[in-house]
Parts: sequence; C-alpha cells; structure tokens
Amino acid sequence: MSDAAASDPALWTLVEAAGAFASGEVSSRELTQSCLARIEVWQPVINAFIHLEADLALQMADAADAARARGDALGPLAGVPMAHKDMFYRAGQLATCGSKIRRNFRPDYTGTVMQRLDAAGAVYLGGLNMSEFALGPTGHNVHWGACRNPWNPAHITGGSSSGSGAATAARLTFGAMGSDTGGSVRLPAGANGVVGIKPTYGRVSRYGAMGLSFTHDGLGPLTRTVRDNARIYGVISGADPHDPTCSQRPVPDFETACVEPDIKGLRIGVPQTYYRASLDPEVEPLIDASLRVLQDLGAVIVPVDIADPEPNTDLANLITASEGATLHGHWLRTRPQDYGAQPRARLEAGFAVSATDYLAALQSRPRMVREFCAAAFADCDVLHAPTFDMPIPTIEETDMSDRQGFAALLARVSRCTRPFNYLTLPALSLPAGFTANGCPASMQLIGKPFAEATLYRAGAAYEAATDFAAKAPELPV
Amino acid sequence: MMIDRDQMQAWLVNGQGYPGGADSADRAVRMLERAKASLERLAPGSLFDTEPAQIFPAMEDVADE
Repeated sequence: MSDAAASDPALWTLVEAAGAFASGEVSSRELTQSCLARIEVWQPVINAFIHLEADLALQMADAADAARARGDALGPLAGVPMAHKDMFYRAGQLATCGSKIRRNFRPDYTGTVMQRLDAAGAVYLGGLNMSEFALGPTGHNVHWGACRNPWNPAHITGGSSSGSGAATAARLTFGAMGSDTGGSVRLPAGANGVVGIKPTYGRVSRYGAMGLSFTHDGLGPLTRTVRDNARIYGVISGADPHDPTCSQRPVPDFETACVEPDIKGLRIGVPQTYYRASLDPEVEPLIDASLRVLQDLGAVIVPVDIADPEPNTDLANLITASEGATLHGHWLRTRPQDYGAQPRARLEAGFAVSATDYLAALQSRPRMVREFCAAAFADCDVLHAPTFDMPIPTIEETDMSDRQGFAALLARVSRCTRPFNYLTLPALSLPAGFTANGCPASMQLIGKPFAEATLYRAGAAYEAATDFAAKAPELPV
Repeated sequence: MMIDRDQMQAWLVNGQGYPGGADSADRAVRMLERAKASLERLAPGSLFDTEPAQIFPAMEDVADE
C-alpha cells in the first residue's frame, strides 16, 4: 500500500478495505465517508452517479459497525461501500434504468444479486449512470447526461455500465455491478482501466435486475483488482429458484484462484484474424505487450484460427432486438417520444422480426457453441483478444444519436466483445496500458463455459506482473 | 431485397402499431437481410432436431472441468 493509499481508505482495494474493517482497523462509517468525500469532488467532473443515497449508506455503515461490535459473524464484503448500475432493484429505492420513463421507479422487491451483496455485508451508496435501458456501448445518455472518463473527461467511458466503470476507476466505490449483453461490462471496464467480468450465461441470477435480452444478458462486477472481482463474483454466483436459467453447478472458490496464481503451461490462444485485423497501430503494441507479460509468466502463446464471428453477431442483433422490443413494446407504442433517439432506433427493429426467424437464430446457437469451442479451445485453455481495438474516442466524436451511420459506429465500438455473448462464454477484461490520450487500453481473456476460475487465475498473475491496478486517475485541475 | 422498405413501414405501422418512419423501416430491413444471410451461412439446411433450450446441454458438453 502506498503512502497516499494509507492516508485515504477510499484508495484501498476492496479486499484491503474488507480486511481492515474485519480487523477493526477502520469502521464502515469511515470507509463510507471516504467514498462520499471523493464522490463530492469527482461527480461534477465525471457524472458517474444518477442518485446518491448518502443517508442510507451511512445508516448501513453504522449497522455494520454495530454488528462488528456485537461480535456477529462478518460476511466477505462486510462494511464495504459499493454503488451499482442503476438497474438493480432494491425494495423502495430508485432504479431509473438510465431512462426518463423510469425516472421515479421504485421496485417493491429486491433482486437476487442485491440480496446476496446485502447478506455479505456490503453498504449501498447509490445508483450509477448507464446508457438508457442498457442500450449503448459509449456511455452517452440524453436524459441524465453523458458519463465522462476519469482519465480524460473529454472521452467516453464505454457503456452501457458507464458509471460502474468510471466510479470504480475514480475510487468512488470499491466495486460496482454492471450488466453485459454485448460488452456492457467489459467496455467500461476497458475504457476506465479496471477489471470487469462477463459471466458464463446462467452463472449469475438475473432476478430483480432490469432485462434487455434474456438469452444474452449477464451480470458481472467491475473492480480495481482481479481478486476484488473474484470475491464479489463468488458472493453473487450460483443457483437461484427465482431464475430458471441459472445454472445448478456448484460455485468454486474463485478468490483462491487469485492467490499466488501460477500460469506456467497455461495455453493462451491468440485469434489470428478478425480481432487483430482492425487493431489500431497505437493499441497493437500494448496488446502485444500484454501477451509478452503472460508469456514471461510461463504461459504458452499459441495462434488459433477461429471462424469469422460477424454472422454470429448478426444473429445476436436479431435476437436482442426481438427480445428488447418485446420488453419495451408497450412503451414504444405509447411513449416513443420518451426514449432517446438511438435506443428507440435500436429497439424498434425488433418489431420487424418474425417468430420463425427469431427461433431459427436461437436454434442455431447450440450448434455454434459446440463448433466454436471445439475449434477455438482444441489447442488452448483460454483466448486472448483486445477489449477495445482502438484508442478510447471522445464523447463528441461518438455523439451520433440516430443519425446515418450510428449502427456502424456502435458495431465498431463493440466488435471485440459482442461475439462472446451469443456464444455464452465468460470473458474477463483487464487493463493493458495507456494510449497518448491518457485513456487506458484493454484486453480480454475468454474461456469455455464456467471457466471463470481459470480466467481469474490468469488475470491475477498478469495483474501482479504489471502496475496498472495501482494507478488511479487524478482530479483534473 | 426480400422485403422492401414500404412494405416494412406498412407492417410496422399497421401490423405492429408502432409509429416508425422510413428510417425505421430501412434499419429493420437491413438487420433482417443480414441475419437471414448469416443464418443461411451458419446453419444451412434443416434444424429439425434442434430446439433452443439445447443451449444448456451444449454448454455442459464443452464446459471447463
């Protein structure tokens, strides 16, 4: 821990903060006040919060302190303040979903992920900015204002979990939940230089989180370190009777995979086409450097030949548009003016899809998963690819609303993340240095279904050999 | 083009009750054309013995152990 970190608890990692709370070194109120103090100065710069629940957070913090004083058993997140993408339902609390339509929505029940975080002792700070209804990979939002990148506020945060990435990077929260339907955890993790995981489809219950596309949605945490991420993931994963798509598989100890991780002999496959074809010249050496780090740790780097993922993406787009238009059908018909132009334009295409086309796209999915995994993982354990294959663009140059070419722009931004949602695969985004604009570069490790422990092991080894996790953005003067 | 823009616009307005305009119809047509072509490329022929819920056993078959 640096001197600066030692003086400000908000700069600790989640694991450090939880450990300090458990040992009595710090109170939950002190941790929470440290985060609130940073939020006060950073919020005007990056617009990461839609609503801050300071009073509730301090009440929860005091309850955690009282529980510790009584000698109660402490959960793995006891006393630790966290904020979340504003689409996770908590009974009686705002969940705007980044929209105008749900500006005052207060659900009457608490979703599974929030229940599990509460049971683990976490403190709730508030709802974070997000793309409207989780539609948009850049972080723009016409209703609540664009979220800004803490490394360079002129640049995008990535989306749709924009506030989750920005707030975690700026040390306003020790971690944040996001959702990923086409890259919405990994893109903001990548753009803000933090760690984010897209879960295997079905690993994490979606009950009580706003849906967009129930065959593609996944809920995952964004954190400062890999081990922080693994701790939260262990808390939220596992079967849930409220979500019938949730896997019955037992949950391994993900955090153990991050302790003294050894990746000697781990075979890391590097797709030779598509993911490298569009690599920006400024990003390419950073992605190559991340591979060298893994190689120096003993991993075996092997080229792999995988099929062009664009056709999968076309089917994913058809499926998610259909499911999204179904969920939003009533509001799209009765309140179209209350949507931002771009989310509305994306959703409305779903009205055009026939039931037979929709089902055919889903029918082909089991075959595609089998074929992809057989080919991609025949000679390797995990795949390595960029998260963003270009420097993080500015807010202004990506502010296209629904003008001609917006679909191509969105496809360009999420071209490296979207294919793995159709394929159900877990993917862990990690920092990979910085480009000239001051914003982070990023890469992702992709595994077979339920290979999260392997991803965490490789990610933790990589993180320990680099210094990206220790870097924090500084408040612009 | 398998379906033209005017037909799509009529379907969106009259069939789906959605007040979309010509741009909406254009986007919908493009998405459908791409998806149909990709479906033909990825899974040509019959999918008679397949149903979508088989995604779960497929994932288990290829899962990390």
